[in-house]
Amino acid sequence: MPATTPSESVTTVGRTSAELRRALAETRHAWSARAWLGTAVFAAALLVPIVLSSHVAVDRLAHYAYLAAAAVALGLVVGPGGMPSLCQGVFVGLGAVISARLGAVPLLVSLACATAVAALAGAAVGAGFARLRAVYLAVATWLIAWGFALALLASPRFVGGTDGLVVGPGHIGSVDLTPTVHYELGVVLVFVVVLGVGAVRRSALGLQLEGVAVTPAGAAALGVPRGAARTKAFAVSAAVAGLAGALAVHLALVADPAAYGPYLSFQLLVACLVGGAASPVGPVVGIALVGLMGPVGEALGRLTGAETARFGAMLSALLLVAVLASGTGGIVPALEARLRARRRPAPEARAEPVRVRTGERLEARGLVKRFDDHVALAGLDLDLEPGRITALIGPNGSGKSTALRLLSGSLVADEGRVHLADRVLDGHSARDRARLGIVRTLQRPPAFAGMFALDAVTVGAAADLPPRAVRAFFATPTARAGGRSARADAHSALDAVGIREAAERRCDELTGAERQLVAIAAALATGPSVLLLDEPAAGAGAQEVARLGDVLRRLRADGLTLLVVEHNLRLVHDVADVVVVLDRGAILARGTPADVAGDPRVRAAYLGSGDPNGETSL
Amino acid sequence: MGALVVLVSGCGGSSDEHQTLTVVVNAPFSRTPYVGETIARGAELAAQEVRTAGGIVTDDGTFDLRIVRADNALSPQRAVANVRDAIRDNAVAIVDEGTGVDASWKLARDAQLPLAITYQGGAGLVDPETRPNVFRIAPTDRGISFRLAEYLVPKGLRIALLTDDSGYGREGKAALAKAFGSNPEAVALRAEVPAGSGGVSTAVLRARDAGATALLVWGQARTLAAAITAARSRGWNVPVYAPPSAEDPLLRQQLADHPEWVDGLTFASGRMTAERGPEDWMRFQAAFETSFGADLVGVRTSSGAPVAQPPDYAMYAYDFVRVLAAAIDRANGVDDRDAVLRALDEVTVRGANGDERGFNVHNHEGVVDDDVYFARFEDMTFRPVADDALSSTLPVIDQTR
Repeated sequence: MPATTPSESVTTVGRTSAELRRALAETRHAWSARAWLGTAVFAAALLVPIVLSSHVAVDRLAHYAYLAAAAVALGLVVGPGGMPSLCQGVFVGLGAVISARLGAVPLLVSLACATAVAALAGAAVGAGFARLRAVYLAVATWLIAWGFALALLASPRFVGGTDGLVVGPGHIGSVDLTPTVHYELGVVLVFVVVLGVGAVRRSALGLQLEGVAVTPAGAAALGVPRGAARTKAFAVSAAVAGLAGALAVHLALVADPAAYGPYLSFQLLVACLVGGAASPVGPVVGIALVGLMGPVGEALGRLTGAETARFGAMLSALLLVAVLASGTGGIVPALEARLRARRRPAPEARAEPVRVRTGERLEARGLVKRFDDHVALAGLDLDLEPGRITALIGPNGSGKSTALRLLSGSLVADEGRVHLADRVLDGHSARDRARLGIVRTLQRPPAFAGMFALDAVTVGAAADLPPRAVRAFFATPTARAGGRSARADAHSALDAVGIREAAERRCDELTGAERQLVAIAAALATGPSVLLLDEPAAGAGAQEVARLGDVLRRLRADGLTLLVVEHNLRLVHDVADVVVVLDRGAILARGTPADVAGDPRVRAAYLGSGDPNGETSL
Repeated sequence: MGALVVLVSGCGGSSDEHQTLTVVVNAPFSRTPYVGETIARGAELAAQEVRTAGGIVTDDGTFDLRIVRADNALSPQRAVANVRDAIRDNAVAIVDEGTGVDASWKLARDAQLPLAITYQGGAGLVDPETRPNVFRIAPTDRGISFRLAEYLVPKGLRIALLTDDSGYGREGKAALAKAFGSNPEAVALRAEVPAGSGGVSTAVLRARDAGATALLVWGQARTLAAAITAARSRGWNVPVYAPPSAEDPLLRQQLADHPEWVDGLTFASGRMTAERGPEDWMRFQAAFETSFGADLVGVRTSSGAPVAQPPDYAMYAYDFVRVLAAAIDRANGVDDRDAVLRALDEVTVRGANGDERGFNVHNHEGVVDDDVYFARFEDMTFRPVADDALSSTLPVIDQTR
């Protein structure tokens, strides 16, 4: 590794201090009543053992603080990741057992080892299962939780059997870890994890996660690295859980295998869902409520004379059912939704030209695609030139969308080749092609439900950024710069499609045509050289079609290579340089809009006798 | 929130100028209710008698004892949390089933809180040198296992030693290893099985294949029931021996459909009656049943009589609370907790069965190792065996109501 020169060090220091100044400025800008409230709650939480020492069970509070840290970290997987993991307790248990087994080594070393092992386990689970749909992922992780519990029971020599492993309270330096110190550590850990998870959510990784969770197909079309992002989210979440478990075991004084069973994972997920995984603070509230269920259950059990041991779990389940039935997404998000309808705009919202690569020639030769006996495309040749708009039209089932999918790499051709300039794209996945600049929008615009338009577009801007989880968690200058740059690109892309004013509106509130523009902006934010648009005018009114036409013409003027699959022939007529007509998987006609409009074969096969409204007339 | 615990004053709350001292029973009420209930009721009976006798009169005032139940659910983590709660509640002692003591005794020591084990007999749990605040009134695993070896080896049996992975089972495994260490030829197989029913059948079959002519199953009652079921349902009429967990009514409840499978089950346990005769024990049992009713097992004899469990394990908790009361009296109050701890090494009381109960600085075991007898089930009740010198001298305690 080359040594760092003094000038490089100075540059690094300078960059860091500049970044710190910028971070402070951003914090000042974003500081709100909510931030004051959070700070006050944090300070008050730290003071609890001092002010209420004789009235609270500090050890139990500390225990719940560690659980809260694990739940907040799980929120990253469940919230933006959209993965209902039921094995967070496994990582807590791993951390605890590793730390207990390493009782003879300095505590900081054992904590580091426990965190690392849990992170590796999380990465393994993520790599193996994060690609699954939510319901299968839940089942798979639940089985992992059971498997872990059974493995602990089957390894009495390693975990001390049902007696567990006895550990000392531990100390860091000269500080003994009394329950009060554990509590303060737990509160600080929760605070750090809340901030860290918040930072991840704002980072490229967070946006990638959210994009994949909210609109998997849309994110895939933008080239978002689904597997890597999800795996890293699992690893970060597991690392925090492992650290929490490793600390908690020194509070509990024993690594009790029975404490790390599936019920712990269930509790953590319930806390996430009840409090609301959409907010980093939600799981903290969830843990507080789940913690309350124990004493409430005991009280109910005593009142009714029933078995008290199971009441807590039953009440937790009822609470979860109530919150899920409310459809609010958890307590904290529901409160936040009441308190603010819109976000405060980010300070870096300045207009810059959209980051578009120089258009490149995309060429397809002899593309064939069969679905069983049906030939969807029978040898398509296409030449897409920079600075030109090619329209692909044809009746339903003629193979337009199949052609688009073959070009974008989301479908593999049975025969034929695609070239980007001099490069042959055989074997290139959709993500590879997106990285090379071939980006596609979907026939139906992705809903990006719950996301702000700016965030949805930023998913595209962040698609190509490396999802560096640790940097994102600690909001390092590099991670912050990446996020800032992605947001700037997203603003520019929104400008380019003319809907800058929609940046802070939720996608669910936009019209279909506006959502199409958001999708185009997201594609533009990736910095494409070739843009493949699948029916961008679907559902748009005349004014919106005209607006879309202006957008496409501007992009053509910027030198982008454009292919538009479209049914709206007025738009095609207005913007297309070349029109290719498909019929039953083969090219029926090719030429300028005027040429194609005059072709009797096209009229006979596709246009019929004409449309009195002019919508189907070139 | 759940962690916010409003303190129940452990010392104070006068009624007729009596102050109340809290004694916490840390036991598995939810997981093995018989054990938890038995311990708690023994302690409650003693507290009740202290109250009836006018309390513990000291220069600091008159004290009554209050028993608070804390469920450890057989979880060492919960057991430790319960000890922390007890310290916070300013408890004067913990009557403990034994789970988690390895982790909790230091906390109790730092709070000068005596911790008395009244069920588990593990070897490492009690040590006056290193654990000066830990006491035990219960037969030790060492005593039971050596008595079992002494009883079984001369019979020329080839014994399969099956233990489960509960804390109780693991302690038993260690004790059996020592007890049978000098007679390896008597051991056909050693196997550890998961607590409960899973995996027990396989171990029983392995024992049969290994040529075992007897099973010694040391584990929770569920494990023991599973082992008997596994053997008998395969037509293997092998004699089965067990530690005191065989007394747990759960075993007879689980085998209620096959009472003949219970017949012949032989177990070792602490002697209920003293040399001086059964009168003290009978008085204790009568007082116990007056307060709580007979502890009905839930099964009947072949003649239809309901079977009741003798409160032998309640006796140990009862005795400890009485020793504690005597120690508080000797220390003249509870302000000086160290004095109470010291006094526990000095006082003796006459126990429920007439034996002298007490400790000294060198010995915190309230039951001597030899004080173990053998009983055998017949028709859902048990009686001392005739082929053991000590047991054959003991009276039969009526177990029907």
